[in-house]
Amino acid sequence: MNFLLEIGTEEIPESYLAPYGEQLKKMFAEEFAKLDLKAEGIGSFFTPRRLTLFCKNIADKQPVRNEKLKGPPASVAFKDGAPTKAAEAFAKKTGIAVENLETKDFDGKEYLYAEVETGGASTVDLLKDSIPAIIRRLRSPKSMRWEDKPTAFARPIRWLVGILGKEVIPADLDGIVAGNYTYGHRFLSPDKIELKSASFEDYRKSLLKAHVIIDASDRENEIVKQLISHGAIEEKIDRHLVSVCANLVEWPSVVRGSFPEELLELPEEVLLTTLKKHQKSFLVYNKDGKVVARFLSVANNDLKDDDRIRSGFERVIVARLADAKFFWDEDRKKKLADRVDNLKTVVFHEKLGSYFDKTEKIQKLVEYLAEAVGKPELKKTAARAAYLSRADLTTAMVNEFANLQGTMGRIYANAVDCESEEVSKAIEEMYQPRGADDKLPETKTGALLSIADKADTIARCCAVGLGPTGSADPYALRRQSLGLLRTLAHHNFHISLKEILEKALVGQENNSEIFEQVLTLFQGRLETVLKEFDVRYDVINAVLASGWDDVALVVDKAKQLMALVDTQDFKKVCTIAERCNNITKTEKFEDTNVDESLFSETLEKEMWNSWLAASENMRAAVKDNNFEKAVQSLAENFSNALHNYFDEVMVNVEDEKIRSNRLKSVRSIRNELVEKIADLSKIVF
Amino acid sequence: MTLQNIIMALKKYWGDYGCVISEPYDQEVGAGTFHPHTFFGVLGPEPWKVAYVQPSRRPADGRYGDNPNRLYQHHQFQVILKPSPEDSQEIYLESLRAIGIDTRHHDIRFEEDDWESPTLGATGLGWQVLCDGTEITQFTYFQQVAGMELNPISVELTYGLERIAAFIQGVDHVLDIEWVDGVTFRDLRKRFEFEFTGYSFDGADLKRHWDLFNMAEMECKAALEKGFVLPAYEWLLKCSHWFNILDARGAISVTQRTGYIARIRGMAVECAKAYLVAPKQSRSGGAGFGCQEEKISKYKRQDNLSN
Repeated sequence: MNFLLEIGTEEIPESYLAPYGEQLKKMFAEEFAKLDLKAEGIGSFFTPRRLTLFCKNIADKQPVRNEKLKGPPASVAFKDGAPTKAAEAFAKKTGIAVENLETKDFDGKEYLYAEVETGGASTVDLLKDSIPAIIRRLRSPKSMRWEDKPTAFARPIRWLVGILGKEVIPADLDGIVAGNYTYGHRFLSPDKIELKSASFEDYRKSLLKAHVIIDASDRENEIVKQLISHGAIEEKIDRHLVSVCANLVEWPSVVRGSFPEELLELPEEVLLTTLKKHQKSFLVYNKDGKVVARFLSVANNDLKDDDRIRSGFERVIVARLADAKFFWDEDRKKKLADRVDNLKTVVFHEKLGSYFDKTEKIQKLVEYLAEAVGKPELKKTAARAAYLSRADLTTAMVNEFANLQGTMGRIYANAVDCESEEVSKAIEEMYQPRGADDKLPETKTGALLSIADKADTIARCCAVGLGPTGSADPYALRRQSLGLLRTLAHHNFHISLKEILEKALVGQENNSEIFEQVLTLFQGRLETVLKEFDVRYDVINAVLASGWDDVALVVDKAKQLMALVDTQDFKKVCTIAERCNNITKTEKFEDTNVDESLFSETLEKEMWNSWLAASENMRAAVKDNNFEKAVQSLAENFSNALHNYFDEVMVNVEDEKIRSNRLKSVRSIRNELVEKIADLSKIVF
Repeated sequence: MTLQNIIMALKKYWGDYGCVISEPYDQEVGAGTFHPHTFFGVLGPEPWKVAYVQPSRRPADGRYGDNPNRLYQHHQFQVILKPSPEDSQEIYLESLRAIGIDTRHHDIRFEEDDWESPTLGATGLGWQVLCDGTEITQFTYFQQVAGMELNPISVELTYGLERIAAFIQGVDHVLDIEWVDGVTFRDLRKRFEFEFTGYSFDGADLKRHWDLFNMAEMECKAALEKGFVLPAYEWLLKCSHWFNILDARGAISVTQRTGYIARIRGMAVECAKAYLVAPKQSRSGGAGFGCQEEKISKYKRQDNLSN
């Protein structure tokens, strides 16, 4: 039989809808299984005003099952012929009166025994209780109560539809009783609609007649179709905006409006922010990819009076664009370079000074970075970009549209200060990556500036006690350190992270505790970065044990080792590492100086010589960052010698001097491998 | 419709619905929510329905009357329905038709917007109602006020009267709104906007405003101690207004702001608690603006001249 549930609500926030749909599917699937109701074809649908769960085929009642229940032993159940608490519990469980309890023999001992019929309940009766229970378990980022009802939900629930086949399931949620009536579009078809059965097709068609498109992808397709018919270029349509708009309406209708041509003077980013962010509207491009003075908005109406609606939208959009144009004209009267001094009054943080202070610091830091990564030719442009990097905070445009910081910096640097492409681009790239999904700085100058800025923020925030705690990270330092590490790795900047942080902390109160805190912050994020590259957890542990001050190297190394992880050579070298580690891990070593004169056995000397030769090749390979070659040379030239040694020579002999020397020699091999490659004893096979 | 007629139509509509049509509070406030008929009205269990116009001052939004959308002082039409009705959205939409907005032929949207007032410790969930892209009402189901969970829940409808009038009259600049035949918004309000913007951004004496803030806070606490809840609340409103002026002057840094908001909020919480403790003097069906009679009886005049 078909099962249909519709939760009718007041408009639910767009971002809550899809998660609600997923929760409904999951919770009902679990509930059906728990209730022993065979069910298939579970789907969920939503509009801002309704959440729908549909099940194509569900049993109309539970199967009857004969359960054979074995209880406590008779000796425990009856004492002196009288029933004990154990017997009463079993009686309760099985629903049989205590005096009618029977026993059965199992392997010579008597146990309480009952054959009970379970199940057989009707689906309607069961779901009557399940429905309110599940609705109360649904979760949203924020929820609210209404009137004096106890249930909390994203927005008030106003009606329920619950039908099994042709029968109503009278579920009761705080006095709202489910029936077989739904409602159409709030303005276009507000009347009640009777649903004769739980058939999804009938439901969908009834709603469609009432100006409600129940399926989100149908709404999206409808929007795209209409956008194209109004002149939008298919490839340029912002699909994310389409899916957002689809979840703000039940009956999408695209309105096309226009604005004065002179507003096209505004940079595309400004037009986009105004139209997309604030008005959820689409920019229109012509075939040559240029913006035209039109916009497209999605209304929740059938546009029988679209002139009125269009002029309404136009008024709002023109007003906002006119504001933006005003800022654009005012801002360009002053160069960015002439604004930098004003940053003295723009506070970065009470404890960390102004943005002017920050500008000075990152300027110094970026000059140091350019040298340290071996790109001294970038010093001048990086320093210039750093100097101008925050001047756009004093512009009216950024004041109004905070999300355009950096972008306006680039645009104004170019248009007003006539700075080079390189400098302008770097100003915007300083902010990248803004989040987990944002791109990394493309240019080297931008990357250096981004690293400098983030290092400055992270180090100095931690220095004055604003670092992240277990539950809070108000200054987003974790996100910033992740961005910094990803940038270092992406651009292959080989540089000491510790040194960067030390330079960033110049002038701050710096003690070892703060430094440790900062390093711990980075270590955690470095693991995340490596996971993003699909490096296995044990390879991560092995590589980090080798030290992680040169982040680019660590990432390169981890990737290379991951590529080798299934090879024979790699396994061989891991075994070398494991054997050397196992035998020496409980010893204490003051040093690992080996006295070759104490070698007595031939195999000992052979092993050692083999090691000296192989390790030289290994070191040469490591110097070139060629870890494949390093692993290969050890596997080919040393593995056998070492295993022969371990198999034939006893390390823990009585003679203390020889024993100590042998342990030291093995330990020194282990240490060299850890230092130069990784702690491969951590690799799990 | 002129703005004057819009206001009268809304008063008639909500009056007919059953709201008490009360008057604006005669103190500087930033929003209709600060009026005791809302702040105290939503607390406690008694039902309450009220509607009123509330001139609302936001010093940071002053633009000398030049900006087409922003004003130092705008007018809100505030409605509180407690408990929130089953059909709150429907009766709201009907009120729009009562002022001549054809809901069938406009794009009316309930767009997610959760309103909060940190100074009053008030939070709610709801929407901004858009009409063809213009925001005309803030529609909120209050969940907490003064940090206390509400039961029953009140719905607050806050209409932006200037926005609505500009929309209905098809006017682009708020000062061009027709207040009544032959009288524009400019005629009534331009000078007010001009002088108060200048005062908020440049003219207000900083030190004096800091002193006023601190003294108001002290007097609020003193009044509460003596058992006067509503007078204490008025001192809180003054704190809030002077804070807004200091903020408009740029005298409050980002990190200081949290501290000041916490101080005002602290006063709000104390007032709300004190209000709920007091015995109710109203009949059921009205907001109980009781007083701690035992505490303030010693301030009553002892002679027979007082009535």
